Amino acid sequence: MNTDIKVLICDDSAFMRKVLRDILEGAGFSNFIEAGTGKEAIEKFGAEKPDLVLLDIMMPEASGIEVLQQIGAEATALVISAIGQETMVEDAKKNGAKGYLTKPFENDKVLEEIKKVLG
Amino acid sequence: MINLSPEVIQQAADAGSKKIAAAFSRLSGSPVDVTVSRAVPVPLAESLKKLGEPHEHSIVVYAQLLEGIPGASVLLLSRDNALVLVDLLNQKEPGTTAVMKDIDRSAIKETLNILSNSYMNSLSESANLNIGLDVPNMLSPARFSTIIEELVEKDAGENDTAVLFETVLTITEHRIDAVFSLLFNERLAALIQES
Repeated sequence: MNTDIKVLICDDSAFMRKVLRDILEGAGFSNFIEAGTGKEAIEKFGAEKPDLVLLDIMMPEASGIEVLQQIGAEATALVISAIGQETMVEDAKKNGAKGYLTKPFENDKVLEEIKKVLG
Repeated sequence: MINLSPEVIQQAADAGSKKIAAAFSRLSGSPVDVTVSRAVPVPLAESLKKLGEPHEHSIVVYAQLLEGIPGASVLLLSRDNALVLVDLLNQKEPGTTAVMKDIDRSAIKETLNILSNSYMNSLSESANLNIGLDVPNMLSPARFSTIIEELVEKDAGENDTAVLFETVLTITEHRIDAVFSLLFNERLAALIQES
């Protein structure tokens, strides 16, 4: 897996952003941008053009689904959310998510899903 | 009060409790037992008492349900238990954290988010509905009591019924008891009953 890529981590939970960053750093990734709201995620995606977006669903200012409606066609996005209801998974994929992972997750599973969405 | 089938509601509660025990175990990295799993229909006006009065040294994490069904989700922990839980969530030796920082509060709020959604994912399978949760907040016990009292005062008619789903999750190894509650109005119970 190419770890020399720019990753945008979008989650309103600072703790969850740290957990994801730690997992990715452990796998050799080092180039991160973070967003704590949906609005910030859209802005940072536009400004930084990351290669991969890890995206929560329930966030202030704009939900992950609203973020996908803006960037889904352009982004390689993996949704990582505690919401596992089937309609939400379908909605995310319909709006451009390349993958969907439910919290809580095993660390290996995050890397496995990233590998899948990066092709 | 609507006529609930206690068996059906209890089954839904047990499935939800099982799911959140697995989630809590994965988050904390420790074996978790479900020591209480119940679903009780209660008059909405009495819901505060049924949620349990958090005492002065409790940590209360609270989130309102946004869509699907009116209700709230609550996690109660003693302050000592919360500090040990923060260490487990951060994969540190229990006893390391003496004072909670912002990142630790974020970890506790995320725990409620994950537990609530795990429980609701299970309920959505039982009742075939989607339930959305707002961003969790950490509150003082006094502020929490005020919010519930205001909600009850504003929304509760004399005959309104709520259903309280309650699970106590125990990590015996670290003497942690976390009380997780979901309080719904009667529409959820009716949907479970119909399914």
